[in-house]
Amino acid sequence: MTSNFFPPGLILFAAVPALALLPRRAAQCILGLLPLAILAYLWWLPDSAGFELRLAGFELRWLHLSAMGRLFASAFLIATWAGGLFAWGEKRREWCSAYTYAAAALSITHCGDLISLFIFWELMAVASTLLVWTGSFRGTPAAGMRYLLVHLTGGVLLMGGIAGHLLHGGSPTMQAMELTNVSSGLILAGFLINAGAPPFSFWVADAYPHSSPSAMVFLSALTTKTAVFVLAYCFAGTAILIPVGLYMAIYGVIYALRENNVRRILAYSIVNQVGFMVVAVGIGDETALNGVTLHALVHILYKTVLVIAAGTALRATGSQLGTQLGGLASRLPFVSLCTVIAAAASMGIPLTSSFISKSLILQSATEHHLAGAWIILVACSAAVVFNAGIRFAWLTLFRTPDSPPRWQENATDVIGFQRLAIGVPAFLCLAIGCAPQLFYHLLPYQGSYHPYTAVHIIEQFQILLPAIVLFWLARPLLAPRPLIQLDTDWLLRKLLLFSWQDGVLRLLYITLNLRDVILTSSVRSFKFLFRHYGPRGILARSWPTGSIALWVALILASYVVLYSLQSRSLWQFVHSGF
Amino acid sequence: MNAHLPVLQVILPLLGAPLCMLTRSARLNWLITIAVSWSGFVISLLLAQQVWVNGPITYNMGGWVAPWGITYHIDALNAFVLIIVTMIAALVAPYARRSIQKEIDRHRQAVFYALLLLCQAGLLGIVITGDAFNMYVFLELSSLSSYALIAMGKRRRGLTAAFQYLIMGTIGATFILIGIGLLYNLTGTLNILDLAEQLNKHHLIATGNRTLITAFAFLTVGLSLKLALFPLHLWLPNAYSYAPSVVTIFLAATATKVAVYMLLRFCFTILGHGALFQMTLGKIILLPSLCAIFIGSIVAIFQYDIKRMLAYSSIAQIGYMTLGITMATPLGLTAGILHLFNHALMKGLLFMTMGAVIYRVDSVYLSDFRGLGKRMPWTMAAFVIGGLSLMGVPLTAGFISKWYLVKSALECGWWPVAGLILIGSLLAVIYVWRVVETAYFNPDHELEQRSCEAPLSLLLPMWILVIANIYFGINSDLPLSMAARAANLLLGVGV
Repeated sequence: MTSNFFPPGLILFAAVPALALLPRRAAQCILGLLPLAILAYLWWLPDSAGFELRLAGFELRWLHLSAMGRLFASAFLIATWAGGLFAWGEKRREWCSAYTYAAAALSITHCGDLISLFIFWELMAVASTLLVWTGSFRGTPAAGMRYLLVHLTGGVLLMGGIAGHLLHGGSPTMQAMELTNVSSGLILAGFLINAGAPPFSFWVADAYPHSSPSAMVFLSALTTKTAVFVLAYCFAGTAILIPVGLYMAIYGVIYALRENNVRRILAYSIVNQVGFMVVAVGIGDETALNGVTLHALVHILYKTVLVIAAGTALRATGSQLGTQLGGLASRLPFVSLCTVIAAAASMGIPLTSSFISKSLILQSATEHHLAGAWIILVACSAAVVFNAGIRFAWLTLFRTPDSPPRWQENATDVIGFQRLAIGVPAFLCLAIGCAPQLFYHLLPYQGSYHPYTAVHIIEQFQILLPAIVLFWLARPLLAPRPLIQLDTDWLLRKLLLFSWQDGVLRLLYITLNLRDVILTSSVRSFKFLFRHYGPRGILARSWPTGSIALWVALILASYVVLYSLQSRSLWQFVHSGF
Repeated sequence: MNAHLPVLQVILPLLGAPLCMLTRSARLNWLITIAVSWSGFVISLLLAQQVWVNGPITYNMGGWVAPWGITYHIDALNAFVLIIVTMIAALVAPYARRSIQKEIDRHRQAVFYALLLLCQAGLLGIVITGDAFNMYVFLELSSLSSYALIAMGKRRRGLTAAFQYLIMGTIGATFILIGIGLLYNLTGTLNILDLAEQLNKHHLIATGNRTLITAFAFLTVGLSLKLALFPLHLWLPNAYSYAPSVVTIFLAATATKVAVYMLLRFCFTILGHGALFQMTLGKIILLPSLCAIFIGSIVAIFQYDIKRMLAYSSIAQIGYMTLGITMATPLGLTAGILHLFNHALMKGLLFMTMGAVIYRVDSVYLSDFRGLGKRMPWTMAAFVIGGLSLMGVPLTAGFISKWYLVKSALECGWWPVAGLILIGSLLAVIYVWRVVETAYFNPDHELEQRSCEAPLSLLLPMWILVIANIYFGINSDLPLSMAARAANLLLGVGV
């Protein structure tokens, strides 16, 4: 028996017109208070709460709570709240698209059927594209377009999968699925594209740095984690996810190494961490799923802090390139403090949140004797030092730059309310790390975990200390410079448009020759398309009337023949005639 | 009064046309057009309601009974198409005045309104009549008036476009006439229901009669020309892009739909519930439909003239409709018929935004859209919503069609076809967002700074369609159930 309650996601939707129309002050109050109110409402709702409606001929269930969904929703709400505070002074357009986007993501965490999932999925794609477009960088419109295309491709796969699933007698309810037929494969592919899986991993790092400083807070928290949620909900224990996740974890590390743009470093680190979660979903036992849920929450928290830090630096200096930043710690003391905490959390130093959540994932990998996966995960978690961990903070805040960054006229450290936006998530990072038992009982599955054993702590330091030492030694190599290699690389990216530039090709066909072949062939195929389909191409130009008439006659003749063939009378005629 | 609704549906616009010629005052003409179109819409709704409650209506002209006299026969299918045509006509009428003032010389406006009403009468006549020859007469009526309407375009190339359409349309109409003549030769009757009965009685369908086959070859080629099915679409891009905006809106949203209706009538009602259709026609039309979707969309991507781009997109969308029809399953036909309605909504809307842009900017080249997002916010917002609907984003009407098309393709086990439908929708993303990007993100046009938002009389019908696009995306029960009923009727299932 379900009782009707208003879904939390719809409340956020309802706030969108208010944000657009109310006086600015009132709208800002909504930004500051509504997500927290919804958070309270979410935890107050009884488990049996439901909300059903008929829309466009479909029976939809928009409220279907689960323990995992509640935790994801909470993380989303905290990120929305922090993002809203950080976007305090931005345009209404950004608020509205961010809230639509957040509402769609929130709705996904508590929707009960696949059709609603798809509706929110597409809405999220469109709204987040608007959010990418809030940026004012040179490549922003094109990046937004690429982002939209990738996500609508994912949406299209998802839609084909859902339609096939329903037709073959699948249930429309959101539930665990077996990877048995084409439809479930398509659904999985649709989910994975949003998670940033190969061969589409590039979209994360492509689009996010192009958004405005505050828009990236929403973007980095929602899309990929929504995908992780639905993967964990529907495809827990699907073995194929383990290699996919490992690829993503490695991809994130390798690409971040060579990156100069600090917000892009964070974007790569998202792919890296989502890779961890995808691996855990692939393992799929209770410990692993607890690990996924907790790690998603933890990752959203510390990534929010880091993205806000990067955004503050960007607002203060007008640049997001490592070469033009550095040494901002003295000017941004509060941000620096929070960044240090979040960086520690990202590396999984004991007493911080990530230590707790990653240990769950690693524990489940050990239990399943996945030695290879375990080694890669450990290596990647040590390598976090080189991206979101120390390198990001070092590049942005603590490094002594060759020339001091340009400081904007009236730029300051985060002040007033906005301190909450960065302070609260940073505090939560510590709180989860210090008192894990408080959070364990919120997890979807019960179990007793004790992360603070001597062995475990020593193990963690054994991983981290060498990495940190290595980082310190390799500092001169990692010092930011506008690599020429990077620039040509980016140029290729633009020419090849979408997927070909991706890591698989780089790793496999590392030789430039092959790249050239692909490059010229893609240019050539574009030319071919243009020659035939372009305004003057044979398929698009205006034809002389006479030749159309001739074609009509030919088509008539062929139809007559085809019809006769089909109805077999011509066959009889041929047989009797000869 | 109620009993005479079927004839009123056609006679009102038919009488409105000479009235326009007599009054000669642009304002009065406009009022007449509005009165006629709106009452037509009301009549079609009343008719649909009657059909829905009491079943098909038969109206004998002059009291002559079926096989001898001309009858009007209205069932679930043509009641639905009547609503589409009259709805668009009712929305175009208020839109027409300002747009016409801008695009057509003052002394020709009376002729324009008269032709528009004639065209409307012709289209409604085709849909409502139950007599095959009468259908041809109305087809010629609507075609002749639309040639003249297209030729009234501001650009001189409108003349050649109209001429080409004239030739192609006449070939098409002649083919249709030959087809009807051959059927008459076989059965000795012109009444559509009687035709079906006679063909059935003499077992002509099962034996693969050669005259029948030739008749249907002529009919399908003629109708393919009329509905601009690939590769017989060549007249359409020119006709749509050089015609006056009002004409493009009206024709794009109604004329091709009526041709699709005729195809349905001939292939399903006359051939008997699609048995033969499934065997022969369906398979043959499948390939052109798929080509239309794919080639139409790709060509659209490369167009600079946005009105022309939308014309190519129409060709692709027609492919979706015929694709639904080729499946000849209840679900596929429902999807195809539903798409008639939804496509009228979205293409009507998109061409209306083009009309507004022409009204203010005087050009629809891609480069002239720069900065329009700021200068014409309401128009461009309408374009974005129409575009979203065209892409099939959920909560818009386009999604409902796309969903049912994909579902019916999968039901038939046509995975590649379903894939192509979805790829087509991605191609739509590219060509629509190209315009959106130019309008919102490119710097303003250097020369053109003075244009501002379109007048209210253009915006109002446009936004009614915007609301309709969203409403029928959220609550699609009404068109969906009507389309489903029409599909079942055509296949002889249930009802």
